[in-house]
Amino acid sequence: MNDSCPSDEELLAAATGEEGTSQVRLHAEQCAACGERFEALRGEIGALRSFSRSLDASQQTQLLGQPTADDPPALDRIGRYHVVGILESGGQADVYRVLDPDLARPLVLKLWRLSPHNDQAHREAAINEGRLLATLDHAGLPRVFDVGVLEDRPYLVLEYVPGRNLEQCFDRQRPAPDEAARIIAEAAGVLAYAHRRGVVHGDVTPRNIMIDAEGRTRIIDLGLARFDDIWEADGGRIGGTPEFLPPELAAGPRRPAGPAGDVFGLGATLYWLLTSRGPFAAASVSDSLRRAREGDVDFSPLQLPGMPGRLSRLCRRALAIEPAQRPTADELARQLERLAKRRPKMRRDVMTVVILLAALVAIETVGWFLGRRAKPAAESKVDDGRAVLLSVPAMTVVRRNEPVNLSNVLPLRTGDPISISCSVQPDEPLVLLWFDAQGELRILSADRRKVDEVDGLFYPGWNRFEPAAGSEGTDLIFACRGVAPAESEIRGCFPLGQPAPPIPENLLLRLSRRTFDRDGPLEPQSEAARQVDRAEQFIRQIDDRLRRHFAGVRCLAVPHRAALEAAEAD
Amino acid sequence: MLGTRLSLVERVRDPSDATAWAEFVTVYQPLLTAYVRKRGVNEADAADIVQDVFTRLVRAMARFQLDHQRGRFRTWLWQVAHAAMVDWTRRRAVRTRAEQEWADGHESQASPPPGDPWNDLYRQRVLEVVLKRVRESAQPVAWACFEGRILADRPATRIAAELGVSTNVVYVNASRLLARVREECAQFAESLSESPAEAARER
Repeated sequence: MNDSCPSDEELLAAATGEEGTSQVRLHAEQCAACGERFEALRGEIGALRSFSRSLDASQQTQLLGQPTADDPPALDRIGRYHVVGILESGGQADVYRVLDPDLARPLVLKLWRLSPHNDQAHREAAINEGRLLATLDHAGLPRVFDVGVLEDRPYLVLEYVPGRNLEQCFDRQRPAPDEAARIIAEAAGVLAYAHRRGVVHGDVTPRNIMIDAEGRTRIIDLGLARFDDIWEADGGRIGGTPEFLPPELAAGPRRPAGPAGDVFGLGATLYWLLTSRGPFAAASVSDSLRRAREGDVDFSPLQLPGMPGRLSRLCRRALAIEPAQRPTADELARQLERLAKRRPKMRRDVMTVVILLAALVAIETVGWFLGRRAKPAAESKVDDGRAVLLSVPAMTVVRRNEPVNLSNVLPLRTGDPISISCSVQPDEPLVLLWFDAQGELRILSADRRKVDEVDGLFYPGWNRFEPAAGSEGTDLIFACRGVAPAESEIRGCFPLGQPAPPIPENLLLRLSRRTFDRDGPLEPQSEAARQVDRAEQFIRQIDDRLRRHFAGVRCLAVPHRAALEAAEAD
Repeated sequence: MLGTRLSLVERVRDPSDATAWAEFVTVYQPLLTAYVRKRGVNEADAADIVQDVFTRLVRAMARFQLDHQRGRFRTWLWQVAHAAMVDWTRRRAVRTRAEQEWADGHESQASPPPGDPWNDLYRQRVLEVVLKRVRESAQPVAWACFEGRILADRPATRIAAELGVSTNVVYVNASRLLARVREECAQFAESLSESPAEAARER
């Protein structure tokens, strides 16, 4: 560059295309250094202008006027933690996703709002509570890494648990009773540990029990109800979730929650898993609270066919009005574990035992022996030389605006909104087939998504329903694991045009690993039993043919009846 | 190309530099969220993935060797984000064989494939942050000159008339702020222009 070279602003003027700058441009063509500067400027201007054009009008205003609203959380730092997102914002506290530069772990930071009792004593009490929580060390509990006070507000830093809470896991589909037993057994085990260490949860509900990415049951927000109490300490508050509230806590000015309150919460969550309702579900919060005060639980939904009697009795004990009559968390864990474990062991000899006992024992008993045992992951056995999980398809129908498992509201009625689900080991190809009551075959295209470390397939889609079409008879839903052969091969496995024989309308048939489960009352040697025999034979032939193409086959046989008259249906 | 300051990318390699981390999160959180969302991930899962990316970065930043090649940090950050997404895809049940193959084939990619929105989103976010900083630190008149002439491509004479200054002042201001924008871009190991000439020279 020499003296005759243009200044930055002169060159910029030329690069923007300003009039009267032809001399500068001419110079740039001859002087290598200026030519390069000129080209660089044009590149920069081009980049800025295209960026500017890419913003829409509203962003322009933000950029040029007010500070951008785009910048993340109002708080970018809390102490030494960097906020990378907000998880939830509640009445008493805010929960942030945070990052600790010294600790490569996903964390959450719960920062309580300012308390009306903003004094040293309250802060110390809160901190002591936090320190107690930090001493706990159990795989079922998120670790507490830090506790402290920031600008007069207590905070806790906890391990972040990615996963889904029970409400999210089971919002559409109930777990099988023994899976429910397993989950609550694990949760009870975790709480038993906390109780031994003198910590009470205080608000056990389906929202506070998580299934993490590894499929483990974990309990979140342990001790935080107590923490809230200490921090707020206004005495008159009724904490907790009304639908799940132990009667002793609903009664009036809050007494400190005890371990028996947590056991009630476990019982209430088990009740919810089995029936889809909280024990004190009601139209309004005040109704829920009234029912909670009176301990007014309706146990009749636990009397459903297929519900193990021991499980429902245990659930009732945990929901006893008197805290002293409830089992301890430890006892509940042990009893539920035994129940969850017993069932798969039973399946091997269940057929012989049941056949011998069937003549002697009341039909309901058979009902629960045979009750929905098909689903849970824990039961998976070897199919084709590999341990594989594949469930029998399940059907959910909407009745009175509520999705319920079909087995509770048999038979299927034409026009019922239905949804079919099936779970399979992740990454396994799976084909869902529907052989309907007219003998027509449909290959279902289902939504696939992960639920609790398994892949769920959902037809017509996740959370979607379609009206059941077709006529009276028996619908067969097959789940076939393995890469699908040509469609003609699949069709060749079915006697097209020849539907399955009828089955009684209060009975579901499930085929799993060549073994049938009859879910429903059935008198031995009756005409109904002979009907079922014929249906089983029919399904077995299809099963044999499908097995030439697929590694694993499951089938659900559904009794299908005509729609009820509208008046009758309500 | 680098100013006297250490760039943000260099400062953030020191975990104890809290200001740098705060700044880093502020700049990159919206970018990563936008990118992951654009790839079809829902809001809640996107937040999980972004948190995972930052968690990985805490460990990985120390290993990152900055050279001053343009766009190198951009590509490296993409690799980290991409690895987090591949892991997430695996954890969530790979839906179809095609997706499985996608995850397999994309596991160890060195840079975003053609058509991937990463580079555009990245440059956009950097320019957004840079321009915001420059605007906040500039005199309003100077910013008006830069904004009017460079960003909005309005005639210098009109801007000069509105502000009651000469056109020469418009260019002096615009030129100064342009230099500031250039410096700020260097903070993110980006160069302002992506002119073909420069790109060709780097190769």
